[in-house]
Amino acid sequence: MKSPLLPYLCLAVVIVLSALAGKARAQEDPGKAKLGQLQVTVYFATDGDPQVAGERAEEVADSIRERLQKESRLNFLHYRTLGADKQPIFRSYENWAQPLKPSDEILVRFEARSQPSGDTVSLDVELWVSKKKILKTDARLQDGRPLFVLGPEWRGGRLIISVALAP
Amino acid sequence: MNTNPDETRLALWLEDELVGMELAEMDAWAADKPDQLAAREELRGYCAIMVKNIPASIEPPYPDFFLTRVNQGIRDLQIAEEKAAAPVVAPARAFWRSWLMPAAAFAGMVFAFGIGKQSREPAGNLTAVPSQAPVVYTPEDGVDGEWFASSNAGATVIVLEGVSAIPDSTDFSETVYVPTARESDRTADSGLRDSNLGKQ
Repeated sequence: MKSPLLPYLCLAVVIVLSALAGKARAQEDPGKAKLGQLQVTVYFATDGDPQVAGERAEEVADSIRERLQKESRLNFLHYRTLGADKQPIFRSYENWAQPLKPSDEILVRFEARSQPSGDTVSLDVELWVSKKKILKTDARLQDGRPLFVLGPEWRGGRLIISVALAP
Repeated sequence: MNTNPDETRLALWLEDELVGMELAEMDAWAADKPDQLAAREELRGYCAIMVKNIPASIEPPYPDFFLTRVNQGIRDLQIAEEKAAAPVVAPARAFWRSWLMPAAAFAGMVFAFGIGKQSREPAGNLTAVPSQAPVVYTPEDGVDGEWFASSNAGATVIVLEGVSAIPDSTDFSETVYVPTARESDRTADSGLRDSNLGKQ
């Protein structure tokens, strides 16, 4: 005698098998392999009063301040850290860093251009300011050698966006 | 009824040698044949040129069957041109060429190898790939980007000019957020989900 529940049972088995197969495919997606991590930091640089950045803006480490002040185009009296974000670099997919979250005033989109070679990673990098794409470049990032972008003005100073490989 | 003239009669007509009824018949026959009329006019032109350039005291050579001889001359000329266009058969190689040419080629190779060995090594490493400046694209009007490698800062620097200032009313003090290590180590899925932020 044929059970009336048999069609429903078969349907449930098919759904479970499909879900398991989809999960297995997602886990095996080589495009999601991590090539490294990207650290995006936004600094506020000013020759005026750094307190305008707010009380929560921390003073940068001495090593960062000295490094920035060595370059004349990035030389300011004061630097503050406004935010940072660290995101993985995927093999095939793009990713976004949102260093001032939850604000989306500054966004960095990045995507691997090739396999990492030694300590160097080639990336397509885009800088979005106020929801507009301001800059697109192909960056070759090395360990300890970041990309500094002298960006928009804010409260009498400039924002410096640092894009660097994270350990 | 075949009204076409034979070849001899046509040749005589072309050379203006016909008279009387034969001439009238050929004229009637050629009245609707412009190619034959043109051929006769062309031949008359040749005759006029010859009369003009050759004194009357000198009898033209081969006065009989003039057109036939002209055609024969044309055929002879065509045969001569075909012979000239035929590939020239290379003459048999001289004995000395069979060994002198390979020997000369070998001597040239040895000479070039010696010159190459004696030349100095290049000062630079030819396999070194020079560093290339990245592409800096600023899609917004009025925005310029300048790239340079800063040895002082140990970094690559891009200076943007012309970017609209962020309004001072934007208060990052409320949004300053430095994620912890655990929060920043997100999965690929959440990263891709966040990638929708800011896409326009």
